[in-house]
Amino acid sequence: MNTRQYIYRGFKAALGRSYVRIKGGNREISWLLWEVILPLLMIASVVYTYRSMNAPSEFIGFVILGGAMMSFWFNVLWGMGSTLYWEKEKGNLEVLLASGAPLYGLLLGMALGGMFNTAVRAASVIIIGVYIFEASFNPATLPVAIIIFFLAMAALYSLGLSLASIYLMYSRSGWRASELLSEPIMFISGMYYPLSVFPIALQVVASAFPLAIGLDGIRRSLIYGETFGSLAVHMILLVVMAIILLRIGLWALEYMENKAKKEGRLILRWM
Amino acid sequence: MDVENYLRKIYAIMWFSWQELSNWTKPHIFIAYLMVRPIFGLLLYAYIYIAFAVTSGLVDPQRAFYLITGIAFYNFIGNGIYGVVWIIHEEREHYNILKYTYISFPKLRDYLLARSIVYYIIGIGLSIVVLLIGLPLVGYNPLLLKPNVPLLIFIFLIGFVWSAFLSIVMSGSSLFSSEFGPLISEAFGGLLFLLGNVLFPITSLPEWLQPAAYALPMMDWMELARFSINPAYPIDPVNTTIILVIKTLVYVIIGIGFFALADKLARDRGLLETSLYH
Repeated sequence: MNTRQYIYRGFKAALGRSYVRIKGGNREISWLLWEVILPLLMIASVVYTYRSMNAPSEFIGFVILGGAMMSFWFNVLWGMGSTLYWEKEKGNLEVLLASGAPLYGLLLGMALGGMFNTAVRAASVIIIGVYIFEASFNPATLPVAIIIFFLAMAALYSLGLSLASIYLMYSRSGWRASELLSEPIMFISGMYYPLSVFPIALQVVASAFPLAIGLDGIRRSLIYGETFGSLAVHMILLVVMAIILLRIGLWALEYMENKAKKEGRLILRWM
Repeated sequence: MDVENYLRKIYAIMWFSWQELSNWTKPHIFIAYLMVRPIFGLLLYAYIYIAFAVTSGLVDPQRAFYLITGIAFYNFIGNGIYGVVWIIHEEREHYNILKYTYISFPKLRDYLLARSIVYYIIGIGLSIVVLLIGLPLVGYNPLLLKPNVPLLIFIFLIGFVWSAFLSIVMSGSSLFSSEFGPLISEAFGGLLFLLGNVLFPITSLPEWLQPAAYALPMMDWMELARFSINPAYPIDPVNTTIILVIKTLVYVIIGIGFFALADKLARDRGLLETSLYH
């Protein structure tokens, strides 16, 4: 297969996989409701905690944006990272590999479909959060926030490529690794508070995570009204991260796929 | 009933539960795996207080104690609930062994309770670790605590009883649903977190939500748990204990009745082998 065919097949697979993802994720309206209500339970817990402390009102906005953005991280972990693991467990992976569709195409499809589904849920969380908890945002800087959002998504889902390759290889251990990546990333990304409350060393560590940079940039634009000029560093960092993570992700996927083929792990279940 | 034989089976189930939970890796990695989530969960929520203290300049040791103890003791309940509620989903959908479980140990309710014990024991360890790390983190001296050990043991025992039977109700519901199994677990844990005096007193909730909090044993249990390590914590311990015991009895009765009904219906409808592969 030459490069042109490889790319063509990859995008065709991505289109097909994202269709299944979007259709499957939204065919049952009760799932949608659950997936909006669940994050709201945690968001509500933190909002009422801040209220019981008489914390400044902008903290409510921090919590709602943090909760909404975190759902993308969970989607990367469980919806994209674990995809190949689930496909393997259910016996679909061998069929997918036999079809000739490049794995990156399947993952790209999962990313696009998952991003769309999660965006619907995250938007619902924000709208309901604004309505119930009276959070206020600055609409004038929305375009800046949207640009940062898409840059953060590009970096985040590129990271998902690497995670998927780990799952492909290590199955149940990878699954546990995903569990381990929930709370630490929620913490280091400043899910419920601004990164500025961290000590400097922790802020430096946080700046290595695209979600932390993206969330911080979106908060600064929507809550403090900062514009392109003051958020240029955020954008540059996210672009650099997206490029590096995409390169690493594609390499890791190819490497793990070959390794899994050699070690006969592609159809090995319940490992 | 042959008690010795029954206890041997319970032990075997606990061992199986432990193996399923831990045999995917080496012991030291497993211990690290167990610790990472609660410790980062602690940091996540402790920083709510720290963020408030940093931005407002206000330090409130009682608030800090409330928050950290809530997070610490929630580990016990949350871990146990997770252990019970996921089992149906995992064994039917993922490992496809629920029908074999029925064949080898037909009392599914007792099987679920036995499987959960390991999770609750781990939960006790996590609660203590989080408490010991969390209190100094927010500037509260843990040496000020005066744990009432018998009361603490009672707290963990009664916490196991009410939350395990409440989880049994949820597990009974998940017998009828493939795709909602994990969601039930998450929602239930989230609800107890919101309504259980965990991070904030339930009086901070909107009035329309407070009756739901009062209907759950979580709020009384959490208050009594705080009192068990700090006798200066301002509650009426006798009254709270009586209310907690009554609520626990109610939930045990509901759990037994509901699960018996769910179990019968699931068998009648052949749901034990139904898998939708979600």
